[in-house]
Amino acid sequence: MSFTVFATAIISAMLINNVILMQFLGICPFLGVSKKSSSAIGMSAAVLFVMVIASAVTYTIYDLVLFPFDIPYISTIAFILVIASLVQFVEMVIKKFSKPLYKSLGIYLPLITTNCAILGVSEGNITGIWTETTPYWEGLFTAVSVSIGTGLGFGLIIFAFSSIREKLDGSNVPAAWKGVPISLVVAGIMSLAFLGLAGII
Amino acid sequence: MDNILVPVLVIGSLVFMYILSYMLNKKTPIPEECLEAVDRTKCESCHSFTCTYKGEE
Repeated sequence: MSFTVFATAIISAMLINNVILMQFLGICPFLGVSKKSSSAIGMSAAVLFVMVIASAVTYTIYDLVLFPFDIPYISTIAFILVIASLVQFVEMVIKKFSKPLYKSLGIYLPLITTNCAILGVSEGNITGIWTETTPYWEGLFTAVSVSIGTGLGFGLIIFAFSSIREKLDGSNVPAAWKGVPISLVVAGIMSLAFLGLAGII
Repeated sequence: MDNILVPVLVIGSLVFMYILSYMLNKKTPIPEECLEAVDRTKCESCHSFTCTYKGEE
């Protein structure tokens, strides 16, 4: 557990293996909630929040329940149920105790239940970080660091994309390219740009 | 028998957890100051082609 591990995990997950542009996960909110910058910020904050908690919980469940009982093959269905329950629970707690937070994040929370980026990070933590010999706390620290980096990477891309889309709305785009087509072209160019960062770490 | 029982128990308990959290969340009232934002979001995301309102005045 060191700052180097934390920083490497953050930079790697945020820029080099970006969840949207390199792994193509979470495309639905990337295209659906990126029309306005304000919605993009709300969505990315909610994703970051749930992703970090979900990673910690799913890693713990795998390490303490699924592996010891020799049932790792049910990890996908178990993680889906854990994430769905977690979203409901987090929404309830925020609703009850923090009205300002609910106002900014609450409306995006139900959408996160079906966000494959959360499940992808949880599964990735098991395949990429978890091993039989890795101490629990060390693995958990790395998993949480990766999830923070992934959440920040998701936020960075969705915010940049929403800013570009806002700019495009006021631009003179040919009729055939207006709306989704030009947005997909922009997404492709962004993905190519991020490909240039591959292999840095 | 144990090979089947353990995964069934784990999945069953997770399903129970989900149902419990869903019921508790449904029972918790939405704060009054957030009702407008929630209604607006639901309205904007329904994508009904027959509706002409579209969340606008």
